[in-house]
Amino acid sequence: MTEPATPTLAPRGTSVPLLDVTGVTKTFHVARGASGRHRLRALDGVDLRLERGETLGLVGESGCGKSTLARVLLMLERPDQGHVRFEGTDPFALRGKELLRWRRRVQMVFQDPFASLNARLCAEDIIGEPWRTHRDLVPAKERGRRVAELLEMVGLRASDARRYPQEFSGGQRQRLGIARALALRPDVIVCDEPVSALDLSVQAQVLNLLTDLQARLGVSYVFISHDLSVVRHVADRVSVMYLGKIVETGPTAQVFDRPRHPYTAALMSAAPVLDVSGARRERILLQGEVPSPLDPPSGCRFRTRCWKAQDVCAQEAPPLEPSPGEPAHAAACHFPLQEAATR
Amino acid sequence: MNESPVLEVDRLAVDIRTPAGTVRAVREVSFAVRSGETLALLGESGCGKSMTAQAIVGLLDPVAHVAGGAVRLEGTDLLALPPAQRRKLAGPGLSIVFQDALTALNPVQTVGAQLAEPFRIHQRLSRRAAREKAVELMERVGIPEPRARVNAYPHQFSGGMRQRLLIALAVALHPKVLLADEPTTALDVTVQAQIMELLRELRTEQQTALILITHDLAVVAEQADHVAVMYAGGIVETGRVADVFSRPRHPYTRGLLDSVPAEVARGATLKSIPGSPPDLHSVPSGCAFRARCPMARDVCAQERPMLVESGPGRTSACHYWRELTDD
Repeated sequence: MTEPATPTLAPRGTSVPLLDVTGVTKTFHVARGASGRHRLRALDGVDLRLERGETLGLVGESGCGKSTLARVLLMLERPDQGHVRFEGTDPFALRGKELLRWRRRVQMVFQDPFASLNARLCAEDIIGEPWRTHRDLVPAKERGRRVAELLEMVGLRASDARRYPQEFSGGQRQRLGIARALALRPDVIVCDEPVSALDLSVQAQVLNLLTDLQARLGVSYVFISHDLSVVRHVADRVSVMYLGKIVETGPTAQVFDRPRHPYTAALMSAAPVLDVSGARRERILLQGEVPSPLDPPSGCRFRTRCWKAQDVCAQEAPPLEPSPGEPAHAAACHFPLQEAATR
Repeated sequence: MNESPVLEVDRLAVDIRTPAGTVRAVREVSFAVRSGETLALLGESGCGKSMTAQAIVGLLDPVAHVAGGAVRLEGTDLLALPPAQRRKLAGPGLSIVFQDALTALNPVQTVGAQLAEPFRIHQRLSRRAAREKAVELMERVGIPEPRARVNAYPHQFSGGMRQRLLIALAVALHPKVLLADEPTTALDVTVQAQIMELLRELRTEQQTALILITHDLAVVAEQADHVAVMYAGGIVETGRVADVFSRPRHPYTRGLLDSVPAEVARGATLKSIPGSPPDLHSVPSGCAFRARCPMARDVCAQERPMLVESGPGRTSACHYWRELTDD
């Protein structure tokens, strides 16, 4: 590793997080018919931190920017502003061999286990393909053994090496996708809705596998999901996104049990729960839908659907601020909810 | 709610022709719903729940056909009627809301024209009167500025609004039975809640019987009165939702409930069902669930368990349901 391109921003006395994202903004230019070009700000000043061996849940509705953020983390998109630091180093400043070495360390598991595996490659080739780029990682004569090891690690059989994706069930394919991500011994795996295409009975198997692998390998996950019960189960910390901004972040239990941002509260309250006692909960039913990211509201982006909105919300975008007594738990709201107040 | 069921499905069977031969996708499915009541058909992908719904409304894919059974709407077997008569009866009496509103709506016709169609056909209203009805409907399902948007096309609406349009279309003629096939699966959570609320209101308002087809246990727990759990084309358990979910009497239902991450502590191992649902070409002999079942014994491979009464108002198709009654 060479010297970091820029000095780290981590405060003195704290260890440098594995992944540190500060103030990242990403704007896309989209052609929109006769009305000309429009700017779509997919990410607007996003901060995110990931420690070694931890799982960060990323929650939000479609169009909130979570997939763009994942793409920035994987260096598939370059941010317009802000910094990404991986162990203090800006990966966007790396070139050549250094860049290659960095890329190995952040991998991805995709949502659709049908579309994300090449139907013309057998399991062995799918898992081994990354080694054709990262040549020095596994010596050629050890590759067969390593493939067998990886297959067994994800709960498949070594004898599955010659089978093709279409011979596997959905859950088995997702295991194969996980084995491919593990082939490069990454430090971070970005999981983009890894279980939402799977049936419930199979979903539990894959979630258990991800948990086991983390305990064995110490890998960190950025876990993107719209399913709150899944996020609650896997994540140590959770960040909630709305229209390109992080509106709330904190330890999972704090965010779920005492949401501070009205959007978080509404999102949690909207998700159906499996409660057989028959008691119907009071539900916060938001009006309308998420506004177009091409034309987001001024000030706080949630104000158009918020029952607490006042004049100030239209003028000033609220910053992410820690909540009293819970320094790790922050929300971006002028009128954050009080203790246990879900309306 | 004591009157006789408005819809009765009796030993319905559906076959699909595939290149590898004909397979039975729905086997001996029976259930009944009463006015104002919600029945959930719960199951994972490929269990035959959507196929059952399509057979009921008569919209099966050409490769599939009904191989037996009856679908009785207020006592009349729709499957025994000639097509014209069936349309006359089922058109206004029975309707369905599909999952994907964009493909279910006609992209080259204005929403107003589509919403007016049922009134034109079944009530023979004039163009103008039908259009007026369309505007009223749009207003009822919560579409803002209906008069201004009646001439818009489906692609000009958001996902949630399109689902509202589809619901409007389905409830236009106050059907006696409304089927909803994963009506909110394609939508974001906050919009999902709005749509479920709308369905609930309409059901109460019109005293419709609602058949909710879903894979989501939480949706069932919140919305349905009764549930029928399907596995590999057949019903494995039925009963009131509160009973079935608190004391499942089929190992599959039990396994599903255990797979839900909600109640388990962070990071703790979830109980899961080993393996995955069978391919219709290779459904195991005897009990279809036996290959994944922790309780399976020799008899399970030989005899297919029938649905038997396993408590007041509930049935299970398991040889050993009694072993599940405690805890």
